[in-house]
Amino acid sequence: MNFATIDFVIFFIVVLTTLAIIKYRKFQYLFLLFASYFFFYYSSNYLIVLLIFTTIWDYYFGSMIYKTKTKKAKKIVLIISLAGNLGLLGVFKYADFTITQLNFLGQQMHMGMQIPMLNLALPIAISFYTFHSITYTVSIYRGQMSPVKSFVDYAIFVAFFPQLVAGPILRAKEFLPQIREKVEGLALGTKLRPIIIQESNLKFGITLMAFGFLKKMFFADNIAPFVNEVFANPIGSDSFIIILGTIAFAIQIYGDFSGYADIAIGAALIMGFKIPINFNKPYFATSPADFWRRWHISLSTWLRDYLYIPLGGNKKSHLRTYSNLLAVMVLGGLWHGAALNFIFWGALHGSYLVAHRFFTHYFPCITDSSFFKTKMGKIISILITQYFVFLAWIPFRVQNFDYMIYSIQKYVIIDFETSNMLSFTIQHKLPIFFIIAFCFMSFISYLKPNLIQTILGFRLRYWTILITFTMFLIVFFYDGYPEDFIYFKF
Amino acid sequence: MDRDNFWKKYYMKNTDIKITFSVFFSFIIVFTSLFIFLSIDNDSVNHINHFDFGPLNLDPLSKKIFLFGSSQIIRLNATLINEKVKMIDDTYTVYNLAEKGSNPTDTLPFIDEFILEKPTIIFYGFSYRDFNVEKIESNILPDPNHEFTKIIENIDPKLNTINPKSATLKIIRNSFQNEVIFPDDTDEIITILNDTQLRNQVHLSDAPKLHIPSSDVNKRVKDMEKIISKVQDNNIKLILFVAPLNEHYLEIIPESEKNSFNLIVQELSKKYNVEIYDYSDKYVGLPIWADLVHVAYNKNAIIYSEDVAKIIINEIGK
Repeated sequence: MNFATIDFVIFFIVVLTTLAIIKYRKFQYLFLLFASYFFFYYSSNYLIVLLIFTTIWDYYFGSMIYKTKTKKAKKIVLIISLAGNLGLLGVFKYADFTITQLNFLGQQMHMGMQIPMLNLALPIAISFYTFHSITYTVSIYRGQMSPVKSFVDYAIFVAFFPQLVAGPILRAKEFLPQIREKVEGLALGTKLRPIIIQESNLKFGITLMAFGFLKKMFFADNIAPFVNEVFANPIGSDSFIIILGTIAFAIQIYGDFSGYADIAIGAALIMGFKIPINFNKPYFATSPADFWRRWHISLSTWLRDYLYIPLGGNKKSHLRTYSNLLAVMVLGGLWHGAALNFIFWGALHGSYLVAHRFFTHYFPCITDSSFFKTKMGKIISILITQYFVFLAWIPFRVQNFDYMIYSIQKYVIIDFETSNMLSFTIQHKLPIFFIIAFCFMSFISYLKPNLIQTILGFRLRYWTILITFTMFLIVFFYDGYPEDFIYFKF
Repeated sequence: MDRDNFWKKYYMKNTDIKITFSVFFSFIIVFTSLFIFLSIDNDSVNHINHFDFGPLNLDPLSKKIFLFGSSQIIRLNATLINEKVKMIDDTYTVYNLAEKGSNPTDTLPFIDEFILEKPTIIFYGFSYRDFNVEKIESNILPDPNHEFTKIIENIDPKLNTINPKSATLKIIRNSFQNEVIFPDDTDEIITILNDTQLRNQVHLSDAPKLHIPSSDVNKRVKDMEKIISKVQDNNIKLILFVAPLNEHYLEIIPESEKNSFNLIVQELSKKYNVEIYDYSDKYVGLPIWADLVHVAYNKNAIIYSEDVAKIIINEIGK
């Protein structure tokens, strides 16, 4: 179910009302599970089977890992569990991509045989719920938590509807204790926590959701047609158009994805669940490493904890650290989608991280320079970082190889062609207005880091006026065709 | 529970109610404003124009000819067609009632109202887009999403076509009235593009994505059949017309969809015994195009309106 539809608004109101009416805690959680499955079923239909399979698989293997005595045996069980999760992900998401590459290789080597494509439907959110589920078995294996006793608890963790489709990626050890009242050591409490809609959570949640909808429906959806136009066939476009299109896409994807995260966090909060933030003003990052501490935080920390550190992290040689960074980012790119452009995007970010680490290590006089601690130095760091971050958005957005190369060329080697600038700007005044408005709002939120807290401190009547105004912007600039969230397909 | 805790709890609940009420109040304000706004600006809701049909002051004594269809039919010069038809028989009057973005499914709910006006001839222009159906993956299990859309459609078919953004932009445009920043929309309709400009539009075209299922599973074709039946049952002469398209557009329509469309056209003609004027490739190579699917509303593109006038005159003579 798409958040940006009236379907979701009705669904959410029904869920909240029902949760408030239900007296018994057990029934509250059963209903929450049912609602989460319905939410997923609404847009995925029979593919819900895969979600249920993943849930049962990891619930069973979680217990098995815990019960297994020796470290070696635990490892074997974990490997089987991961093979099941990643096997499912591999078959449904990467099989056809792999077959295409193999067939291409076969063609190059003049082998007559072609492997037939599987043409499987891509299940929505499979990358997200697979990663959720993996955190459970790995946490048990690492001794960070004990398995849950109730299957319903675990099923709610995997299928919890606010974050199910596009994250943030939850950690079992952070979410599962929220279902139970008491936590003693590693063991989870026995009594279910009642789902109560509380004042502070309600106001905070609604505010977050309103801003999430604003980012998605007012900004991202109104900029999307412009981005589509620029990159549908960029050949022949001037640098000005390509750069503007790239900036527009950077805003679109941020508005789209962080908007989703805000709605998810807000919706969960209203029900009394805390899920971690996924974005922290990423376009104000001062280095590539800083960017990944601010962008899709739940994925970057997941990759760090479950991939980068097990590979050795930065504890081995410099060369090994660089190769780990590159490998993790390429896999991070591949996580987004089975296509070469995502691998390229990941590789670009990997190389940025490597370059940044290299400079930090070998030229500390530059990176530690007092200039970069001044206001001007910080602004320059932000501009340089974002220049490269935005450059990487081109392969993320443009799948056609020729178009991608052309766009990158025009972005890097600026042609200073100005003859079409004015007419193009006038023709596209509306998306340009949205871009400027977004930059202005981002700047305000950067200057006032506690903006949400300030808003929450408003008296109820002023808060209502703000929410009404936000709703006006969303509804009166809605064109009747809600765009799917970009990250739905991941 | 002691007295303090009781009041504390009561207070919390009271605040919850206040917040919920505030949000509810916001919803009421916003959506009431929206529907008032949309009812003032009819263009923003597709098809509401049709209901303004009454105030068009139709001549009750004349024989009425209604032109139906989408934006391709809007580009017909009704005044010119009217003049041409009146030269043959001055009891006829031509009304162009085409609607931007319309298709048979959109038109069907209102066809009875048009029939009540007792037109003599209905000229219905259509094209590939009229029978284009979004690809829906067949699901094994029941589809609640689809069911919900149907419920909304049953409440009011127009609810699915609301476009507040276009109304808002129109208000902004009218408020500023600055020709440089907000050039007149009609430029896009009037200007004839050259071949290079048309080629540049190819990559933005929807033609490669057209999906035209066969008539037995295509709701829009079925709705078209219902329109034809209603028109013929009321003894109104029906002219079906396949609107012209630019060659660059025709080139990129998948062959399978072309075949499917042609088959539907043949079936309609045969089943309802009606002649269909297929002008889809009639103007290939002619410099009369405002874009890939629309003939310009321009005196140099008058051939389009003249040809339609000839068709109508021909049908009157039959």
